[in-house]
Amino acid sequence: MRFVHTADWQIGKNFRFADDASQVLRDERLEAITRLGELARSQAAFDVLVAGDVFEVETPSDRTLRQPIERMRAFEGVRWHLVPGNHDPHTPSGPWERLLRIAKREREQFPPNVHMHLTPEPVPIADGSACLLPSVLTRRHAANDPTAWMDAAETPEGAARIGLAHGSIASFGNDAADTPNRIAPDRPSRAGLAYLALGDWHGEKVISDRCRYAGTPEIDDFSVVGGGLALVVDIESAHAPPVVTAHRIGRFSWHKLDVAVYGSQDIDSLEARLRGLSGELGTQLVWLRVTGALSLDERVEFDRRIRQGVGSALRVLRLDDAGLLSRPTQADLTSIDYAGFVRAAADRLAALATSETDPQREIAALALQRLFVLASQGSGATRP
Amino acid sequence: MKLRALELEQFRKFDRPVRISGLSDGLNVLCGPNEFGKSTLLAAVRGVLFERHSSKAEPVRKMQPLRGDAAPRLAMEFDLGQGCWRIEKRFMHKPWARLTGPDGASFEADAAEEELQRLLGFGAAGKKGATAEQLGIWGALWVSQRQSVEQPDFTSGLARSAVSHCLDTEVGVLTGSEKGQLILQAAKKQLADLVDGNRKPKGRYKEVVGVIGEISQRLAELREREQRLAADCEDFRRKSALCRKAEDPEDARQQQVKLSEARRLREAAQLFDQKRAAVAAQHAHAASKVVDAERERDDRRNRRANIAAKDGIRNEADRTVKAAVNKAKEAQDALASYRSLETAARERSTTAADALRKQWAIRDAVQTGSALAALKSSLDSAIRAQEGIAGFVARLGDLKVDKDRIDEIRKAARDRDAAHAQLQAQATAIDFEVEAARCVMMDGVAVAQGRTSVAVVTPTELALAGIGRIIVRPAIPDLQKLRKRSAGLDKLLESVGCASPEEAEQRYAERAEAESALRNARLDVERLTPGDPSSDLKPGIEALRERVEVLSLQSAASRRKLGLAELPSRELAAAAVAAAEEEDRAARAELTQVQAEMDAAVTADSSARSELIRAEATAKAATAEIERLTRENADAESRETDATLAARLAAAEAERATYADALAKLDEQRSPDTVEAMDLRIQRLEQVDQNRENQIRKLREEIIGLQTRITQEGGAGLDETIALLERDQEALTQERDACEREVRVLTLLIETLTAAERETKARYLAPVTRRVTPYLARLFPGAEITCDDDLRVTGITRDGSGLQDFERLSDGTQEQVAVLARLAFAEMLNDQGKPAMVILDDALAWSDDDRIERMFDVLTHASARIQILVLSCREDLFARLGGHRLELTRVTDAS
Repeated sequence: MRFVHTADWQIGKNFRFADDASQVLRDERLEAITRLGELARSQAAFDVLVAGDVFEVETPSDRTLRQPIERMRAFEGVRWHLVPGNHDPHTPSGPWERLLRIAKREREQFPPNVHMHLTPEPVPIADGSACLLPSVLTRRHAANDPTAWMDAAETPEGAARIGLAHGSIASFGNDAADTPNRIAPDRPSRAGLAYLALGDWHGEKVISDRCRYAGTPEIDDFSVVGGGLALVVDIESAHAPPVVTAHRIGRFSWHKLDVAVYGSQDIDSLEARLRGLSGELGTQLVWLRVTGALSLDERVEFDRRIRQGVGSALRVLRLDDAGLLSRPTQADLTSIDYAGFVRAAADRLAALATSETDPQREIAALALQRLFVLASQGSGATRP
Repeated sequence: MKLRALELEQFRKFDRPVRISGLSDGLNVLCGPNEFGKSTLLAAVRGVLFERHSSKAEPVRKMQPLRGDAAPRLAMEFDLGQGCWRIEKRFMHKPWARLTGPDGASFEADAAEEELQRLLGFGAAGKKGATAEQLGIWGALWVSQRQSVEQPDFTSGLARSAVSHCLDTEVGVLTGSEKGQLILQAAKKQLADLVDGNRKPKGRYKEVVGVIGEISQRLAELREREQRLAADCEDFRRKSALCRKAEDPEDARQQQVKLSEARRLREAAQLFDQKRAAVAAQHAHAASKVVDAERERDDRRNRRANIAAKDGIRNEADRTVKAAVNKAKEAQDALASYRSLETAARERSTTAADALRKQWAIRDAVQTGSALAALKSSLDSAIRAQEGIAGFVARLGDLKVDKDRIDEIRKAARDRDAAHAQLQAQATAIDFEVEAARCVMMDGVAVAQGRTSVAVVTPTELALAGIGRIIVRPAIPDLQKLRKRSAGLDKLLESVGCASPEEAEQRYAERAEAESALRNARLDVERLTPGDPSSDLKPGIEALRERVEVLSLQSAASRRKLGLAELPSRELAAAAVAAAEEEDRAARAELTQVQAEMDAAVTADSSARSELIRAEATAKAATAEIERLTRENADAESRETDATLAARLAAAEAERATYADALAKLDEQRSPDTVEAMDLRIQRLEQVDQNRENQIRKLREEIIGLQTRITQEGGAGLDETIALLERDQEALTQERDACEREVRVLTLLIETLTAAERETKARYLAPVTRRVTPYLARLFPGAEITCDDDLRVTGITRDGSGLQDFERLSDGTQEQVAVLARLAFAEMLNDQGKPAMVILDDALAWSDDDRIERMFDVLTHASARIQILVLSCREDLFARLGGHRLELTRVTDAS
């Protein structure tokens, strides 16, 4: 059989760091479902296993609740198998209970290709050639291994046992004994699984030849490594090793950069590097942490070229310039004014800004920068 | 710049051409009365320089003479740089302008205007004519009438620029004031967009702060709802689990099994209890029979014992009756004998009492007699004393020398002695040495032999035997008066029957003695008849006499009554009373003794009778009881003999023992699952059943309620709303932080700029203050000025009085300082190569004589460096100013 393994859609997620891009990023997570459906169709993998965290929150709005359902409805013939995750556990107030009520109320109107697995019991799929063993999280943090029940679960002879679960594997990440939703890495062998499709880890991750994390189809954080994929899994027989291929689904690329800048040349290099990021800049999100020191003039250039220039080209430029110091030069100060009280004020602010101890040094640096800008916007330095 | 000449034609009041010329480098003075046209001259200077020749503006139209529509013409010559310039303009009709330079170069029309502007640094006049803004420094340095009090205004662009440039150059630093002001304004504007005057957020900043607050509140509410929802979910889970457990059919079945078993056990326990109850009843019956027999046996035993006891009591009572009869008889006998004894004792007592009363009467009579005798004795003595008083009274009548009289006599005697002594002092002394007796006779008396001396006061005849007579006549003037004083004594003595004062003294002593005796006699009478309030006896002889008579009668009557011829003595009477009292006491004691013994006998008799009655009753009761008990025992035995009773008791005891054994065996077989225990268990199990049903019902209701709430709240998209709000809050918080930072940045920038400007300005203004100070010192030695940003004097610091606000200075002082400031600025401008001169039109009007002298000195001093033109209507006063006197001359066609 062949199926698509995906997880962690996190529908309804808000992106706090990206003001105007937030809605785009949010919407793109729905677009990812459409691309998953297209992948399923193109790969003739008509079962899509979603390993939890379909929703970002336990109580989404009605619109958010229905949006992924409507996306899935559009792919007739593709069967979507959903289980709850730690973000959307199956609780009395959770999304699944609400969807169940909607399904009960709307009956035939509810898309029949959307299968919510809310009890841990084997379900035959793919015309009975395989049996899906879905794990159900009923709490955000469950103390027990949610896949433990699979060991004893009975399935028809010859059917490939495919586990679907959401949780952490103790062998990586946080090994602490109190990590919730901990899944034994050897669960496939203990439970005789042909494949254990996992969710929770947002980057694609291979645990063993029969156990993987698919990662999120659309990356949602700068810390995610290897995300934006979906896995197409081929299983020849109940005991044959699965054949897995990864397919790109995500549209946006996320980059986290640390750069030191000490002059115009560094600004040139940085601009070139940013503009040279693969793909269209409008799909690139960059968290740029800048350190170093610039003159006031260079700082204006930096702001103009990086913050304003490249920043406008990128989908998101998250600029952390707390480590970028102002180093006013004599030319900067002369540029502010040759002499007179403005120059006196500039000298005073420069002294404050470069002081090691003055608590106002950061504010003074900004004030000096502002003075520099205001002076350059004016009539220029008074010449003798 | 130095003004050299000015020409006017068809200009206001000057329709004919006039000219002032020959202005010196220094101080120039033009004086003339009011209406002379001084202010017109200043207007002409302004007009020729600043108004465009082609202008039809109001100021230009006003140049025309009052009569006629003429074309005003003005010309002015001035030195600038190295040469003399001439500007000439014609206005209104066929206007033209020409500027001729020292090198002969000429500029016409607008070119002339522009070149003039460049040379003197003023701006092109506008459509409404030249304004202060366009005049540059000239507006500040040239003072029109009534403007001299005002300070020079350097705020307009050109003036400011010119002065600032001078200051910049002189101070040697750039103030950057213009650019700095622009920056400051820009920074302040940016800050004003964020905060108001009180540093309170405004605009977007305020909005952001407000929205953050609202979001925080909203988030708090949502989080509370989220927590409630989570709690409801937990409650729902817990109650659902409880409900499932409560509804578990296996639990219900097991519960039913337990209930059936309890009911079965209860039935078994009930059967056992019934069987045991039957045996227990038989055992009880047997026991009751034993009790019956034992009671009958005990009754018989008790009755027999009672009969024996009652018999003893009856015998004792009989003995008591006998003893009591004897006691009563003895008591009766004793009582009879005591009654006769009492009669005898009572008689003796009566006799003794009578005797005692008689002795008391005798004793009283004796006492009365004694008292009478004493009273009589006192009466006799009193009568005698009274008789003595009469004798003393009669003697006192004979003795006439009383206290008053003797005092008069004594005084008269002292007067007489004094008169005698005076006489003797004045007497004529006659000393005799008589050799033979009787040879000398004085007043017929022989003078003794030997030496003697005689004093004579009256004419005395000395007869000398054989010789004759000598009459001595002493000259004593008061002799008669002295003799009259002696005669008063004699008269007094005669009135009391005495021959001499000594005799009178004797009589007075006797009279005092008689008075003393009389007083004593009277005291005796009072002492002897003092009276006695206790017996109602009043003082005085008469009362005592009456009392003596009454007592005498009473005493006689007592004696008669007692049959006594004589009363016994007091001692005898007392002894007789004592004897009678002793007799009486003895008789009464005897009577009391006898009566007590009789009372004891009565009591004994009564006691014996009571005891007898009680004993007889006891004996009777005991006899009746014995008879009853004997009869009852006899009846019982007649019904069942003692032997038969004993047999019945033994049989009953055997039966009871048999049933007791049976009961003990049953109790050993008893199960702990008694009926009561099983009842409780059944009740408990039924209660559990009931509780479960109630619990299920209650849980179902609660679950439905929770489900409703969870559905409602779960569908509200709480988490998503919270996440959205948190995102908004974070974004807004960042925005607010940015605003706060921006405020801090701008505040620091503005503060730093302002502080720097302030410090720079202090240095910057130094050239002005430095030039003003020497002038100022002529008015106010040691004074300094302070200026503001607009180069206006704001105050003066004078010795001892601190900083004085310029506006508070007197008008005169303000005007003087304003003139000094103009001189200082003009001087500074000149020093920097700028064209400058000062024109004062009717200035210093408010100065007093002293100040105006000082100001004249200042003007003279300043004129060494700058040209000054003074226009004044006060010719006399300004004659003291000195300087170069100017005159307005009419220009003739020939000239």
